[in-house]
Amino acid sequence: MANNIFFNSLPSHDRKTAKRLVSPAFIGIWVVVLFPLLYALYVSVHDWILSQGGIGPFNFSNYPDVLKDPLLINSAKNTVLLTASVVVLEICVGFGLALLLHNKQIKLRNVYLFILLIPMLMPPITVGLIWRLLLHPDLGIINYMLSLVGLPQPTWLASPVLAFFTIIIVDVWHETAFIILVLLAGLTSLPDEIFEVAMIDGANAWQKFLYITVPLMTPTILVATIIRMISALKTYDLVYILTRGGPGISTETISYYIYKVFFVALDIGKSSAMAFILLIVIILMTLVLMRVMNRVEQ
Amino acid sequence: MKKNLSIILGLVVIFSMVLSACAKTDQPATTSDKPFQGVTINVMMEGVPDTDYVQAQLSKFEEETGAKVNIEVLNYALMHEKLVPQLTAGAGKGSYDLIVVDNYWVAEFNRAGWLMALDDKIAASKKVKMDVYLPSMLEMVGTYQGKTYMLPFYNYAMALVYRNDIFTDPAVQEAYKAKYGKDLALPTSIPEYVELAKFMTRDTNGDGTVDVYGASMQGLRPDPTAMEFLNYLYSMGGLLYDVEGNVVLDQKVGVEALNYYVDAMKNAAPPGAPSYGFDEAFATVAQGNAFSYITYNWMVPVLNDPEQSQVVDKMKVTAVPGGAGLLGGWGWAIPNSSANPDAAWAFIEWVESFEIAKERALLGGAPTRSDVFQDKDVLAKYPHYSDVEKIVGDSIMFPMQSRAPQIVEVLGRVISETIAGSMTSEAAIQELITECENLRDK
Amino acid sequence: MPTTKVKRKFGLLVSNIILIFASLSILLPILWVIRTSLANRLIAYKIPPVWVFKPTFDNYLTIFDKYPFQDYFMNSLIISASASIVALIIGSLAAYSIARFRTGDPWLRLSMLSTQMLPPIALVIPIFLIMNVIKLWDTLPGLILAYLSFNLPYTVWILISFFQSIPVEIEEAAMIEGCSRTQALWKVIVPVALPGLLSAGVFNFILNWNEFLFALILTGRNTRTLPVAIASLWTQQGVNIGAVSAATVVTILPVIVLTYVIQKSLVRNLTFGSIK
Repeated sequence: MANNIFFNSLPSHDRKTAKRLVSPAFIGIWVVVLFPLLYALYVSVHDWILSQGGIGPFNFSNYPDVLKDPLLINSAKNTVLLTASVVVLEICVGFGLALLLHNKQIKLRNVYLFILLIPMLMPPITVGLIWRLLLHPDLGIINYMLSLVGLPQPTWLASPVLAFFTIIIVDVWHETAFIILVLLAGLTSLPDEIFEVAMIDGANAWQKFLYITVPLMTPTILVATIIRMISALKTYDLVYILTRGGPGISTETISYYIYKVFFVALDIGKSSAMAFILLIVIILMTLVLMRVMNRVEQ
Repeated sequence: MKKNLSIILGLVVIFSMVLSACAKTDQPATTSDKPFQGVTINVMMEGVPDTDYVQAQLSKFEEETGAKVNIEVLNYALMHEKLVPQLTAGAGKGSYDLIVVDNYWVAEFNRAGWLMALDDKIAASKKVKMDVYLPSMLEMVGTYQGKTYMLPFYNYAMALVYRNDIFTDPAVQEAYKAKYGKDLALPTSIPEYVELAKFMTRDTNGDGTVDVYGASMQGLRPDPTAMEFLNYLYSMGGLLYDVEGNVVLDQKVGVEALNYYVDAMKNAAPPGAPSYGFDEAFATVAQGNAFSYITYNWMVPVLNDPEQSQVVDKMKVTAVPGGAGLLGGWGWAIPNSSANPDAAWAFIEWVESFEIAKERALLGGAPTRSDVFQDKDVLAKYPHYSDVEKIVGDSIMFPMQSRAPQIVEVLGRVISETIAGSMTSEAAIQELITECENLRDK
Repeated sequence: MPTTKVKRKFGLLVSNIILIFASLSILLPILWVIRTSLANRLIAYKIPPVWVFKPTFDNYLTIFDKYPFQDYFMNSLIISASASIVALIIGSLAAYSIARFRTGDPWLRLSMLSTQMLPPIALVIPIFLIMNVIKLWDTLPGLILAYLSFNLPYTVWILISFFQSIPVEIEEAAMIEGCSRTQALWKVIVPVALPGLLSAGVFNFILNWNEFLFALILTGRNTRTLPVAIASLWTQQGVNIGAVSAATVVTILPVIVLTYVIQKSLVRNLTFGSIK
């Protein structure tokens, strides 16, 4: 991939250095990413169920077959809906909190920030287990608290719509920290002079926010959106712990479904085909988003 | 590729290779009274009470033989994922010398040829006798297609656990008679059980909300709900497969059983039950919030432990109404990939000896041998074991199919979809029949 | 002007209230976990809750005694640290090269980005199959290599924009002073870049520390990491919720301390730059 065309403008010794510097990472990516992917591609066009023996004959129909699988389609829908919900919520909440934390007049801002970052440090698996404990409809502390103030006590994970909603809430609890961090870093790097100029011009807080902060922050927000969107599309741990895809198939996400085809059905050929389709979809989506971003930046 | 995989799937760090190498060189040099001095036996087990009872006895074996037993305790959901790569390792190359096998992995493991046949070892052994085991246990976690691959370790036959204090409460009995015009009695069929469970779902302190539920239930996918539902299905005369492995599930019986199951889930179980796993359902019972629970018979000793339960000495156990609950069990097996099959076998001989099996039972373990079930001391401590022995004898196991984990997955999904309302029970059973046919061993 | 002053005070008050509310929503569940880690199973599930009880350290004893959490801790530490350090070293070199010389532009940069899009499930399946064949399954190097698959592109990507923000002039000045390109890199760029490099390293470390799917599938008895160990406390018998809580406390404590130490640096340096 390191094409010589791009070195033409450099002196030859620099060109060599540039290549040398890049090569370990280049090799690394080949070994740990590209080679496994090629192998997965090979496996994905073969019949192979682990408990029934070794790799079977070539079979391209894995691809059309899995695309017709209603459960895969259902999990894809769930994943898209989940991703859209959590990204929007987390960006809104995260941007709001980052703005508050950016205000230097708030004396305890570093304390708040530290606390707000803690969920990011917790393994999703423990987040799931903890929330299972907290949300137990009869024996959980949350419903007990709700009952004290006379509010209805929902059965958080027991009905399809509510379970989906609960996963969103837990995800927001867990992942907003990351958004706060990225956006606060972005806000901190904004030049103070612009705000000072605006102040002299007599702009009020709202105007400053709307005409200066938002436009300047748009690229950072987009980056945060893309990163978070990519990771939300991979949601697996929370579902595994909180609902196992239930009730019914209402919270089954695509990563969790593929995981099951791989490890429960031991169908290596089909699961590889599914993983490959997912990969292609994600890359296409990212390319589209990047194009949008470039346009926004210009 | 197959060859490569079978050559070595998942070798271990040098550490354990060194250990097993040591083991081999040490063996001949040891004295006869400690035949396995320096050998480490690596065992994978599930984190259940019976595993604790084995661990409690371990030091005896280690003293007797000089071997070190290293038990890795795992959660059920992770065991299968962990075992498969180990089992596909070549002979002597896996990292587990001895494993325990859940009954619904038996066909899968044996069809893939991962377990060692034990018939020769049994024939040569002075200690192991197979005729002491309950036939239903042997059939499930002992033999496969005529050969013996496992020794039954413990049973997890499911039974109905209920609150005897509520059941014998005169006020409750009176209310029951007033409502139904007959005396309160233990249900003898699933429909009767569901009716009773709905009756027992009551507001006991008059605050307007239900605080005791008739049935604690576990609707979480896949195995909690699948296992629970099979009690309903079996007790109502349904079966997934016959002995030859043909799909024999009757649409009408299946739908009826599923309707009763969903009825109980909606009208007699805590509102959160569709999402409960074993833990939440158990906690509901242990905190005194449920009248009954169809669960593993060996949970009774746990419910009598004041550290874990508020219903100490209030629980009684009986067969699943209708008489045919789900039988489950685990067996000891030596994988072909075992590096120390002889030491592993010595361990099995020891752990399944009458004395140790009895010790385990006295701690609360779930027996598989009739002589342990009928032992005076065991019965003195757990009088309900005479009932349990009958339950184990009458219960029906999960079908012996090599793709059982996937069958459980499908079963769990269609039940959960029916509860969630995204599928009718007719469609659910229809899909179950179709999938059972697709997945059966041909 | 008193009105603006009042307004500002009011604004500050509202901001503080919102932040306190947000902080409590994070802190309370965590305090509940700490409480649960000190309770037995009966108290853990008791409703209405028992507020005052004699704490027990049984759960902590359990995880270190019955399950070797000290080993899991070491596994997690070795794997997380090694992968993030290796990624940092080779990733920063590549990022520097791409930032300064536009090496392999745009394909190399694009490939780093798209690698991050990879759903782990797509990668973990072939890696699992390959590791079994080359005998790296359940070894520390195996897991470290696997973690590089997401650490490396992430590092490169974060650091490209970071290096771009360092003015070329300081490097050129050093080279005019007689330094070679490599010397300039070591003596000028590295010291300036150190805080950013550290932030990226810590970020990777946290990712690795909490990673579950790769660890679940690629670790065995010898290399199990903390998240997998915690998940394995979820038994058929039920979640040993006390032990899970104790293990959670043990797991998050080191990263919390780490984050506390470098919090400011994280905010300053983790700008994630532009994606282009």
